[in-house]
This record gives sequence, C-alpha cells and structure tokens, in this order.
Amino acid sequence: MNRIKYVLSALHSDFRVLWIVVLLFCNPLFSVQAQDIQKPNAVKSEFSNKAIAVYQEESFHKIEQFYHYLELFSTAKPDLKHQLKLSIRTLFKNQKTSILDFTQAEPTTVRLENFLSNLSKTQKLQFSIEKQKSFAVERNYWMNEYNLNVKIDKVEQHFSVIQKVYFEKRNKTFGQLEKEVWGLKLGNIKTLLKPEKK
Amino acid sequence: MSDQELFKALKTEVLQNYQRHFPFYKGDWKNFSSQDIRQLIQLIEDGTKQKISEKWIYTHLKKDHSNKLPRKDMMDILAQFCGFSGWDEFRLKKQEQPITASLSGLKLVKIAVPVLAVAVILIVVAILFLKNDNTAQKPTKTPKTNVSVLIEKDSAQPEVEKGQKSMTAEKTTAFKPKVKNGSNQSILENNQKNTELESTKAERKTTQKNTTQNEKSQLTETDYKLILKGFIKSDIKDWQTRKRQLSKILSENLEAVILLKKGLGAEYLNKNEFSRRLIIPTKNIRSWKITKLKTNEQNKIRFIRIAQ
Repeated sequence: MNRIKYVLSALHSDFRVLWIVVLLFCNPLFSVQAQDIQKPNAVKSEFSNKAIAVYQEESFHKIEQFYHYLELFSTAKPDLKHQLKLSIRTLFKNQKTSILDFTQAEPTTVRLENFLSNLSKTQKLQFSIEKQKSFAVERNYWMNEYNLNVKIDKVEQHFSVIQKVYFEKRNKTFGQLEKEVWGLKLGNIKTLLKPEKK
Repeated sequence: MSDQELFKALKTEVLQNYQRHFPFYKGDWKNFSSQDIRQLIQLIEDGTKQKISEKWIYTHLKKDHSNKLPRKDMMDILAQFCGFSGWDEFRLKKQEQPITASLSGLKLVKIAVPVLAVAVILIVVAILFLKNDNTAQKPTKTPKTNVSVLIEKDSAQPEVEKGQKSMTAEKTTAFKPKVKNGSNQSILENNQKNTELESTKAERKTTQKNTTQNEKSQLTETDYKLILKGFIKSDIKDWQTRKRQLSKILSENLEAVILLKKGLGAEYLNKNEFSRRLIIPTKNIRSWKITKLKTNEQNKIRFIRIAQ
C-alpha cells in the first residue's frame, strides 16, 4: 500500500514538471521567437550560422565605410559633399534613421539628414572604430557593438556604441531587371555609456 | 642616337603602352599621377613578372632630364614591357630606324624637287592662261563673281577643294538670272550634281572611318578589368573623372556580385551602387579581385564578379 502511494506521489511530481514545461512552451514570448525563426525570409531560416557570421563581419565593414565617408565629408568641397551624401544614404535603411550626433557638446540622437547638416559646420573630424561583437540575430536584424573614437579639433571623445544592422531580402533594380536579393543596411546608432573626454 | 636619347625613346614607348591599357589617360610623364604610377607598376608586374618601385619611376621616368642612365636590368624590364626581349634589342632596333629614315628622307628630297618645279611651272602657265581668258570675257560684261566661279571650276583641283568649290557654286546659283550664257548654266548644274555625289561619297567615307575607329578603340574585357583594378586601388583624387568614366563603361543593367569571405555570402550591387563604391573607394575594397567580367552588345560592362 505504501509502495503504491509512493509511486502515485512520484507520478504527481513528474506531472508538475511536465506542466511547467508545457506552460513554458505556451509562453507568448517563447512562441513568437520560434515563429520568427520559422517564418520565410527570416535570416536564420535562410542562412547557416557560418554564413550569418560572414555577413555580420561584412556589416562592420559597412560601418567602417560610413565613418570613412564622414571623415571625408567634414573637409570636402560642395560637389564632393553631394557625392558623399549619396553614398552615405545608400548605406542606411532609410532617412529616418537616428544617429548619435557627436558634433554637439552633449551628444544626442538626431535624424541622419540633420546630422549631416550639423557635420558641415564642424572642423576636420577623425574617427577610429574598434569592433566588439555582434549580438544574436533577430528576425531580420542584429545589433553591432563597437568603440568609437572621435577627434574634433584636437579634442578626443570616446563612445561605446551600439548600432542596428538590417539584413533582409528586398527588390533591387538592375536597369530594366528587378531581382529579389539579400542585403545589409545600417540602422540607428545609440551610445551605451556616457562619452569620455580625453 | 646616344644612350640617353634611346632611353628617352623607351620612356615614350612605355607611356604609349600604358595609354593602350588606360586609353583615358592623355597626359605625359610630367603629369603622371601617383595613381598612374601604381597602375603602371601593376601592368609591368603582370606583363613581365618583375617589379619596379614607385621611387624608381619617380627618379627615372617622371624626371625630365637625368644625366645618369638607369641600371641595365631596369631598362630590360621596361623594354620587355614594350614587347622587346630587352634593352639590347630595343637599342638595336631603334638605332636602325634613324638610318632608314634618313635614307627615305634623301629619296623624298630627290623626288620632291622635280615635282615641285613642274608644279610651279604649271601654276604659272595656268595663271597666264586665266588672265587671257579674263580679258577675252570683259566685253560681254558678265559679273565678276560668276567669272571667278567659272574659273575655279575649270581648274583641276583635289577632291577636298572641290567640296569647297561646291559652296561657291551654290552661292552663284543665286546669281543665275544674270548669267546669259547657256553653256555656263549647264556647267553650273553639272557641277552641282557632281558636288552632291562627292558629298555623299565624303559622308560614306567619314562613316566608314568612324566605324573603323570604333572597332580599333573598342576596349576588351581585359582592358576593362585593368581599368576597374586601377579604380579599386585609387584614392579620393580624380573622383569626378572616375565618375564620368564609370558612367560610360558600365551598362545600365549592370549586376555586380561581391562574394564575401569563403564564398559564404554575396552582395549584389546595381550600377549606381557599384559606381559609388569606386568613385569614393574605401580601404575595404582594396582586397577586391575581379574574377569575371562580361560586356553587352554595346561593349559596356553588364556583369562583374568580385572575390574579396
């Protein structure tokens, strides 16, 4: 009799564990994430982890490209400035992107276009970036973390930055042809910590 | 020809050879930029499998006058780049040329002197004959303009001048009513027909010339690869020139595929995006290597595959 009671109580505790597991899977957060991965055009469903790592590395090249253009922009003549604006816009997903405006005494985030017009008023800028890491991939984006050194008029500032990078399928025109291709686009830039002045 | 002069000739040949690969370059050694130097080094390396330093080019090629002749092995490399086996062959061939040229010059003088003499005599005779003709026509009171036109028509002249004559003939048709002589009128009409025929012939010739020139100046896929290679390695300087040239050589339907590390991914660029990457090149594109390039019927680049 005692043995039967013991078996029943053990089964009962196992069911409790089972219930917890079932409830966990029913959690909306958990399920949404799982759905995201399974959705068509989700990065994880289309690419292997190795390929994603390669694209994440390439996204840092895009960020380097952006800061290289900014360096040139600060000292460029109007015609080159126009050309650089075109190149910078191509790098970003849209014009609504918010950028950390380090040209201001107290850096805040502003729209890309405002940032570029603020940049025209500053002296020669110098940037150097130090790659940190890419965070886990969400449905069509991930976050890149890097250290940014900005030198404006001999004043150097250090920022710990986090930037969104979109990796998605979109229609692209090649003259008269239109194709669906995967591509990287840069997104919002935010600072993680308050800047350090040197 | 001294060795210094021969080296100067070799420099000219190197520059001409460079222009064959980079047809857009029209300057000389004086305005040979650092980018051009880098491109030339690459060309020499590709063609001869030997290297020349940037400094060497500055001291020996860019400099206009140098009393010192460069080392023979370096001149060998340059001569090989120009299609010779080495400096010795180049020197030998160039020294032969002036002799033949001077011989042909002598021959020319021998032929030209009597020809010129005969031509002068003929001109004098023609002038005298025409003067007589003028005096004979004076009593008929024909307007001077028409007479001069007829005189021009009677004299035998080369084709090009005939074209010019047609202009005068056309002008004189406005004076037609004043010309009473019927034979003169028929001459004018005949001449008009002739000039029309000649102009169509001239048109045909110019179109033929243009097509042959186009055929000659058509760039091959290898040329395009070299041009783009130069752009990839360049800096911000001359960005406007690059922009113009890229818009000329790239097709509107261009598809550029940039293969990422280990071929695990790719970036697809259209004409605008690809041009922008090359107009303002960043250090990341320095590692680009063009592995495939295709052109369309208009000989414009329509496909590029690049490995990093």
